[in-house]
Amino acid sequence: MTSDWLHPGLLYILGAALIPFLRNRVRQVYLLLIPLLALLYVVSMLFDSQPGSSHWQFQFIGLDLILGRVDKLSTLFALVFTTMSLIGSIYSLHLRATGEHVAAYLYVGSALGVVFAGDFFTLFIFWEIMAFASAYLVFAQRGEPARAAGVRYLLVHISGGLCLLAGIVIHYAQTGSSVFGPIVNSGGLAFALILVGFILNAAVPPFNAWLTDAYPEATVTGAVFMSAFTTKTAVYVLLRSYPGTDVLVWLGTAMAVYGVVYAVLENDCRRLLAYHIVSQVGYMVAGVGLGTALALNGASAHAFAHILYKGLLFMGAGAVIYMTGRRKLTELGGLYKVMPLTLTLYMIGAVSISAFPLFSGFVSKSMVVAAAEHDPRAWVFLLLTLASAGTFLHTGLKLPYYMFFGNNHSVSTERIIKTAQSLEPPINMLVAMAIAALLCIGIGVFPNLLYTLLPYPVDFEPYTPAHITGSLSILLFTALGFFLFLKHLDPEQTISLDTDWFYRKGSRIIMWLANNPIARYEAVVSELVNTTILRFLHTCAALGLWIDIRIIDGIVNGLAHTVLRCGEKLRHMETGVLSHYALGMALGIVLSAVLYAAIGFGLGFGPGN
Amino acid sequence: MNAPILSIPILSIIIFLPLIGAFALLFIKDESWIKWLTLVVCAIDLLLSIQLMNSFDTSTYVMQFQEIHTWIPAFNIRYALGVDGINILFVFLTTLVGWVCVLASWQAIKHRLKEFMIALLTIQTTMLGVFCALDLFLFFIFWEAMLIPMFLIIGVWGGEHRVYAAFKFFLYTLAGSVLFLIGIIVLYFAGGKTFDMLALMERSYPFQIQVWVFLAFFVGFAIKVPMFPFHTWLPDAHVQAPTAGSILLAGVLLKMGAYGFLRLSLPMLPQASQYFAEMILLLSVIAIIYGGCLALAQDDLKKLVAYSSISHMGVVTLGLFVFNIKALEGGILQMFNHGITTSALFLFVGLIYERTHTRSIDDYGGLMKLIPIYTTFFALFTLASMALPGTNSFIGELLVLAGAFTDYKVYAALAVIGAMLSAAYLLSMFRRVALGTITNSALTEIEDVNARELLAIIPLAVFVIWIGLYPMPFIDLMHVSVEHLLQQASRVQGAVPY
Amino acid sequence: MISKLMRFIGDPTYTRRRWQLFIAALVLTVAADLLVTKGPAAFFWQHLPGWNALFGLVSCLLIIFISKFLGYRCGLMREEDYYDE
Repeated sequence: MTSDWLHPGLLYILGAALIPFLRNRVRQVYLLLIPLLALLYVVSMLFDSQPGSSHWQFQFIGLDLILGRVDKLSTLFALVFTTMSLIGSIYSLHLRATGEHVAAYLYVGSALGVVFAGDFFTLFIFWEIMAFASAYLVFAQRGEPARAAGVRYLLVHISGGLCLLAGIVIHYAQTGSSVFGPIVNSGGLAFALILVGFILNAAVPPFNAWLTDAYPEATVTGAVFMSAFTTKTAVYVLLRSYPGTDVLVWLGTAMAVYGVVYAVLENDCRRLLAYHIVSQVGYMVAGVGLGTALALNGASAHAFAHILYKGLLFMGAGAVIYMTGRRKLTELGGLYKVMPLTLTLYMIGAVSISAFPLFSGFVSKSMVVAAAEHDPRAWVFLLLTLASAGTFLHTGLKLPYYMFFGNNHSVSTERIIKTAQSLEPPINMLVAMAIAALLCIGIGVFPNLLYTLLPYPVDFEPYTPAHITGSLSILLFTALGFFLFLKHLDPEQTISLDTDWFYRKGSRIIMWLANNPIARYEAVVSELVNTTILRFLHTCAALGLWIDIRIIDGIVNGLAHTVLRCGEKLRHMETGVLSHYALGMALGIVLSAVLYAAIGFGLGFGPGN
Repeated sequence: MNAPILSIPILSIIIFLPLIGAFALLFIKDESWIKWLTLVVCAIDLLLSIQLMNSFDTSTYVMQFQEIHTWIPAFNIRYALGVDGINILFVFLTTLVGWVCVLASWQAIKHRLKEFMIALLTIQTTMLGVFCALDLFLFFIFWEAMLIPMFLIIGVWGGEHRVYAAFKFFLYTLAGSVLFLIGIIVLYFAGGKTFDMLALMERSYPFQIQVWVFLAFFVGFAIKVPMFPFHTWLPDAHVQAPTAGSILLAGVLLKMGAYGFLRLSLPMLPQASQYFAEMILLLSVIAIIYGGCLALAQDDLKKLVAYSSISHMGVVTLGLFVFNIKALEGGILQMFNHGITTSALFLFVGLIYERTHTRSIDDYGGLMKLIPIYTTFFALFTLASMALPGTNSFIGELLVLAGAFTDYKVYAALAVIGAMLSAAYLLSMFRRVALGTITNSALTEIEDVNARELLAIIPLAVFVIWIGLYPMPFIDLMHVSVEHLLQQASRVQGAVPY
Repeated sequence: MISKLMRFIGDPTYTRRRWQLFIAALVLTVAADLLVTKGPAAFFWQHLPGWNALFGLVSCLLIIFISKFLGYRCGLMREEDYYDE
């Protein structure tokens, strides 16, 4: 175990323990200090000349655990994770209760644990901790919908985790090694189970419902953290274990379109953004599947950029919810007058996700699309571009239009707008959003800063004239379509059914099964003892009692009775007359003498003497 | 024989100290003295068993701290005790659970406290005796003797239908014990008229005899574990028993059944064990899923934990019969873990029942706000029961699964499904009890855990976390013995010297 | 300054101005797209003039109408209390 490396995740996990004991300003400084230190440390790791190394290895119940596998890929993800945790901490600085901060730190720390894991078991342990820590962020919102969503979230993640565990155990049994690396043996059970476990966390349909179910129910500050870590950790592990797996290309492409299609129907602003997470992760998953250096670079770069701009989008939407208390698009609108700063910062995130030139999405998403072009896979290319258009349509046009502009808001929102001078969120939220926005622009303008961090050497130039005009054309004409067909896009007070229908309705079936046939069977069998066996035993006992009383007691009673009778009879012999006693005595002596002679004769003088 | 034989008969002391304490209690009238004496006796026993573990030599499978005296020479019955890696953990578990039970009953038992404590101490003696006995006859005596105090504990101090539950428990277990006795007698004759367990392990018996003896033993043990379909006594017994009774039942008694498999069936009847392994695996998996489904359907908190016990012991029996060292170690460790976590869960149910006098889950709700310390520990034990990584059950389950997946993929997969079920009902239970709005307005007055209750909770919590994070000491304790046991159990034919 | 910008975007009085700017941007973009030199194209359609613009518009319409179809006709959209018991 080399001792010259510090696991950044440890800073968070140990640091979380201290949070409940600090108050006010001290706590706020502390909350900024930990991510800052971690970030600086990870940045220093970037300048470390060691290409790849393993640290913190040790044995545990016969398994080799590696907690610190450091290379370009893990350092890249660690960098963006720590950056996002700093932004998120700034955003949530105003919170009074400490529970969310503790949970968020555990969450970030365990995400870093997964990123630096060198073997599957370490990965699994941190994977599970992530699930529980993030579930707290959903529960922290209080209220029945949040609690129910939290339980569903946790159950789905535990099931996925168990699937993953089964796959890891089988893989270990088959190969004898638990090193976390590319998994060969396509078609094996271990391959499939681990893949399922990973893509569940990546929210690949049909396993995506937990994300769109739980993220809108989480707290305003919690959702910012959640949007960044679970899915991107899943992308990271897919990059490590399944690069070039063909099925991921199709899953990713389908996912990209799926998210966009569902987003059209959404009314809740954060659920719409959640569907866009599904869509954007689709690009990353497809990139992993394509497997070329360009594709893998693209997936990594896109993950990096996505964390920042998605965080920014969630922060913006969260700010709106925080200040107005409303989350449905049917109830929002007209906020541009009172929240101009939020709107601007949000729009920076929106144009980033849409891949406008000069913003981060442009330099990252296009790598994946270009990789599809080079492959060449026509359908993938077309569908991914289509999804791009859709992303801009919703995140860049529909959402801001109905949240900030638009006229069909509820009466109470109207009242809020009329009375407030400015409805801007607290300064810490604005600062957090500004930092994220700056980074989005920075990456967009200086892409090479990101490119040098990517795992493979980059041979891609995003700012070609053709690319710029091409992207702008697509985006602006999408906008044209939006404005022309505006009324078709009006949000409605509905929810859409996703694959969670199966387990939400399905769980009712399981509960019915548990309550009715199985419980009934159990009750019958339990009662069986009463009805048959106990009755049988009773009968035996009654029989025994009868024997006891009638026969055995009867014998004893009979004996006693006889003795009494004899005694009675003998009593009669005591007449009191002297002559009778004399006669009796004489008779007795004669009888004894005869008996004695007979016995003596028989014994002493018998035959064979 | 190079096993250290202590001149102080520490095992006899550990076993019989509670009985001596029970005897002493006969002469004490003051309730306070009774409680304190019982507590002190249990504490001394606990410390002695810790010392036992400390001075245990983990490098050999030979029985240590042996005490062998001839008892009834006419039948070759000896008073033989000993510990090896397999039973030493259970000695410790029993003394720990005893400590917890005394503290749990401090305020809960209102009438006939003296008799209750006497029963508690007596049953401690019998349970410890079962785990340490090296002579079959002695083993059986302790096994049977345990029935009477348990019957009394359930039948006298239990809930509404306590008499029914006590009788059911007694009859079921007795029926199993009768068959168990028949098996013992057959083995006695087949093994050359000896009850010495170690000698019996060395012999090789004809297959037919093995089969019948195995089945006879199986019924006796399967009723105790309890395995499906012999489990129907458990829910009633658990629900009706007082808190300490449930803790004893779930924490230790259930382990005695699995211990029987470990100590008797596997090493003495290896070919029969291998022959019936698949049947037992099937029954284990059924228990896991069936128990899980039934737990989902429960509204009574104690019944829910009772069915979860059936489910968890299914994992244990699964681990015992896949004939793989990881799974075997996992099964034994899981027995210990289950003893700790389920004792804790029943303790918590008891604590809340004392405060609210209801066990219906619907009557709770929102406890997190009222009694946060209680709820935090309750969360810990619920998560432990769910086998969250970092808790003790995770290690046990991981080992069992790792071992099972090599040869029995289907069964292992079904066990994983059972784990999902357990997450579902445990989360659901926790959510309804601890989170949410306060449904019962009568609850607003209840108090959080006091110091005495913490004294019972904390040792359990310590082990949940310790084994979860650093299980090596515990696995090292049993490793060599388990290896030897696996050798004995896997032999295809022929005798193996002990 | 930002609030001035926001008012420009939001206020109904500037609608005509906004449309004019927008159309201008559209025209400029298409023109630029037609004029730039494109690299080797992997797919045949990329050589069509104004392909990107067309694709953007068509994608937008496809997404809107397919989604609405799925939502209304295929029964994906339900009332808000669908899952409550």
